[in-house]
Amino acid sequence: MANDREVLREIWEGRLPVCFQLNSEETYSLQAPDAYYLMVPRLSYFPLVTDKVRKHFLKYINPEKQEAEMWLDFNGQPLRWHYPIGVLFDMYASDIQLPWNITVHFDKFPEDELLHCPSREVVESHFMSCIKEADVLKHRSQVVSNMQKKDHNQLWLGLQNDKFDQFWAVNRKLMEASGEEVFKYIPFRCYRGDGPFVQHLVRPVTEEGQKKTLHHLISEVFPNETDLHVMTHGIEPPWETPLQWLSEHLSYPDNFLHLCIQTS
Amino acid sequence: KESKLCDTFEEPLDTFLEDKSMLENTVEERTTWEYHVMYNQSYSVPTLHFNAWRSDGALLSLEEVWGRALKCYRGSLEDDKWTVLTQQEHPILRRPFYTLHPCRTAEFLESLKEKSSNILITWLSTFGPVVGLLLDFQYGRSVASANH
Repeated sequence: MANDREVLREIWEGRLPVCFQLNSEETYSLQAPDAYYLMVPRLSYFPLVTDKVRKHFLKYINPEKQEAEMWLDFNGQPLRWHYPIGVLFDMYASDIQLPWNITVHFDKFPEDELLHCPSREVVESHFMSCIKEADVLKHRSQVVSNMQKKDHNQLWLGLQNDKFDQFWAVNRKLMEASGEEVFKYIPFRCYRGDGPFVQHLVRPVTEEGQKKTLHHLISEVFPNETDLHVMTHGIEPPWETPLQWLSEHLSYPDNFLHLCIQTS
Repeated sequence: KESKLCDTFEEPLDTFLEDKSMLENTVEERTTWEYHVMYNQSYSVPTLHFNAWRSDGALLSLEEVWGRALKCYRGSLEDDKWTVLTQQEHPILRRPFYTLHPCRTAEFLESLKEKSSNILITWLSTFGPVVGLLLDFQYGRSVASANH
């Protein structure tokens, strides 16, 4: 049960300063547009918070491209909008100096790298499928499938509208271990360099019933490696942090722990 | 006689020809499909990932893919399309792939346990056609009822 409400609140309120600039090759107008500055929530997804960014830059691009899908890049790397914003930041953290400089594009959508995102329904569908997968891992999918559609909607609306209480009124049910003391498996993803993210089946307790820690998880996923650093929400949690607690308190709204791995 | 011929050839060609289909432009549109079957560890089921490109190299849109899938599944798929078939990141290749969501697969496979000696083939032959993948009949020959 996610009891430490202070921690939940702090995590929820994490923000990042971003400086959006239009790709100079796409500037159609005589005058280059001003950069657009925005504080973005770590827990959200770029398509949910960049409507104003789009509006701001649309008038400076080719008038025939007004319906084009916007996409973002950092340092030449297209940003995967389906990763929460905070995850993207932590992945590139060593290359970022605040404010985070992101380039806005409307042309040459990189179809072989980015999922299309023509509407909020796409984001909702992705978000809900992560929640369901996390539920399968934690509870054999018994909690989400027993929820009504209105509860699913409340999770989505709570995230979209930045409403902590609305979101957690439903999410606390997903954070309960339902009968057992702990989740069956811990939903997590590890990101390292350019490769695919790593996801394994990891239990929160040993076979003898002892609580496992972050250290156990990393040893299982990256055996025989020393000198690794784990970052999430911009911090490095202590190695002794119990996995069950970590999952209940430091998961993103999609109910997954997203851990960025760096070597010293 | 000469003037008659001239008259005929002054008419527009499409009224002159009886068989107008000769005037139609036929452009053959080729779509290339790529399929991957992966094991989804979280759901403990197989999942089907695929992409489809037109001959100019452009990826089929989600709407176009749904349009083709819906031909097999009138009614029920329409309501659920957002939870059944969307673009996702391929777990190994990291590229976008259209993916049949695994949530229903577990139920479906459970119901097959006593009835098929190769549930993977039964699963693929059921869901494959929805996304244009037709298995050769030879695969079917290898699947016998488990209760023989």
